[in-house]
Amino acid sequence: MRPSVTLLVASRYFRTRRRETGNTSSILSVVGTAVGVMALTVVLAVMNGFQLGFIEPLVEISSYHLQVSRNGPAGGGNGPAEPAFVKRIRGLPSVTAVVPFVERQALVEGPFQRPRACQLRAVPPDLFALDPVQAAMLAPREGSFDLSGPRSLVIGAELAAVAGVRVGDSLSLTSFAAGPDGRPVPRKAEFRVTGVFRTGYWDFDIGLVFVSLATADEVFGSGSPLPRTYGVKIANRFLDGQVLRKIAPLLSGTGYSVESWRTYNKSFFDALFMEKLMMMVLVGLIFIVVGFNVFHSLRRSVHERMEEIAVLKAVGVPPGRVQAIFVLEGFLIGLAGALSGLLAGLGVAMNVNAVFAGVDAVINGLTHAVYALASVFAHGGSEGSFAMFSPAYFYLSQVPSRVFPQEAFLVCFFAVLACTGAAWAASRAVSRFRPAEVLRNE
Amino acid sequence: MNEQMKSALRDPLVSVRSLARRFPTGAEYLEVLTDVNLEVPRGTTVAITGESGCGKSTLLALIGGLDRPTAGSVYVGETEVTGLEESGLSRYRSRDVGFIFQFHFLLKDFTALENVIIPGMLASASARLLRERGRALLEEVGLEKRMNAWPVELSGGERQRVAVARALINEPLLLLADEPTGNLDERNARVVEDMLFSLVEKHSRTMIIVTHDHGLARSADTRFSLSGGMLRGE
Repeated sequence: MRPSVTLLVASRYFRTRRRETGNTSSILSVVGTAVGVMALTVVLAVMNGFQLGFIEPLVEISSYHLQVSRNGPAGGGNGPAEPAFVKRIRGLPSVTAVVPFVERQALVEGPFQRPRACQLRAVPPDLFALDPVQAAMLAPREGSFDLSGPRSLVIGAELAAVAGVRVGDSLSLTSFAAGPDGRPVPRKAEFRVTGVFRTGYWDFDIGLVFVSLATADEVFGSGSPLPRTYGVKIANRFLDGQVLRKIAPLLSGTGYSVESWRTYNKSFFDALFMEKLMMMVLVGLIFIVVGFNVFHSLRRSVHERMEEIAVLKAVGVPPGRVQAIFVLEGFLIGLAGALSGLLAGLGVAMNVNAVFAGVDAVINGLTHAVYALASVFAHGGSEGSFAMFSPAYFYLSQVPSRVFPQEAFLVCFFAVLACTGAAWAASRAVSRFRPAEVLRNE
Repeated sequence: MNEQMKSALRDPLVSVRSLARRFPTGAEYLEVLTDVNLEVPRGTTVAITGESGCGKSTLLALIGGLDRPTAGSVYVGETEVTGLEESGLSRYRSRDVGFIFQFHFLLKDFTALENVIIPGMLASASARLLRERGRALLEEVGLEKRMNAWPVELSGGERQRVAVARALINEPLLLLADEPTGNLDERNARVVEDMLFSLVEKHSRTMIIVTHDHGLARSADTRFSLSGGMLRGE
């Protein structure tokens, strides 16, 4: 095998520098990189957790991954008779569910509340069997998701609270139906609450009720079935474009069209994306600091090894390969920092609530000690209770956290890139001087 | 030996023509070499003597491609060294030239054997063959028991012998020795000198040696003196 002078020298320098000098600057470089990677991993994980708390309910409950409708989303349809294309869509390999639904604005009125606006969604009674992912999000906290009985209704937990209803109670729902002359007329009906759900998404918990399609047809259909829209779920919602291109030809000539989840709430999703991007950029600035640290560390290393660099060049090692020795060292610093930072970041991200609880305990312990000390000299006051994250302020019981492997890889990649780039910049001097200049001075 | 081979051996391996080198010293220039001309036939040894600071090492650095001249040219074989780009210079230093410096300039983080084989790693296709050659050279310079010693564990004479082995690893056409015994005591200096000349003869190498040591210079086939930026025969 052809021997590599670059690998031999770089690996020896990497080891011996530590042995000889303790190499504080290189250790700091590794630690700095690790802290940067850890911080960015945790920030992205928590941000993903919060953002997915919005995105997933919207995509899984509201918009579905794709919607097939006659006149745009939640538009017209042909009533309960299922069009032929629905069966063909169900047969596509990546499609996991096709759910017919009807959506209406409505007013809900409980015993202790004035009418309040809500979204009325009529779905098949076997929704949970058709779409298990949606079922997991709508898992009832009280009662069951039972729409099989006449005038059954499942309601969001917050809406149930403000309406003052529980499972078994009645409430009235008002919506519009087409009158005899085709103009909308209000229809009001009493419903019995069979289940209360909590998605964790405030807008749904305060503003969404479910009834069965049959009930909706009966109450608001004016004698004829309401037009259906078909929500389509696919195995990977990010491959929506591929499936959309397969569905579109099936709808040719039917008067229906298909749209992706990306087109609904587009401005909201764009805002979330921008928020995340800006946060990544801001936290990613730490890599500039890391880069400077590596730059100075390796520039000092180049300066200290000038004589050896001159000797290597004198015996014929090309400047590029000599520079590669230092670039490789920067790469190794970046890799060591990125891997250790990633491990630490994953550890924190997966236990973020325990970490917060630990910080809370430390701060509260310190506060308690200060108040105890102060009480020796004065009476009164209270020690309070510090909490970094409190459900009292957020509509969440815990800090959500979600790590995406591709993002973690990207963070590590940029960390290694910053270190390698800094090493390259620091070692550019290697190719500039002539060996005689250094060896003459020695 | 036929006439063609004899003629080839008579051809100069090194031709230095009107070589000049000056160094900036503030607003002025220090003229170290003004007009150096030299021809070194293949398989011969040349010694260049002169006072300290007269430019001996500078001349050696220019012939070895470690520095670039202000004017003039250096040919080694068919190669115009002074016209080479940086990559060509690296190749030239790796394949055609072996350096021995006054200060051994061994890499302190590498063993004696590793120091010897590092220049060979650029040219060799086999790590095993390279190590074998490195061991053989260290045996030739009498360091068969010190192959895995670190430079700091070697004496001055031993370090310089490692440097000699390193210079020969790529079987260069030309050996350039800059005060190879200048940093050694009398006994070690003679050991290194004898070893150097016997290896040059054994491997049929051409050598240019610059030295203060007139005893060492007398061992060379041809001697020159450098003064006033020019070479004169002795």
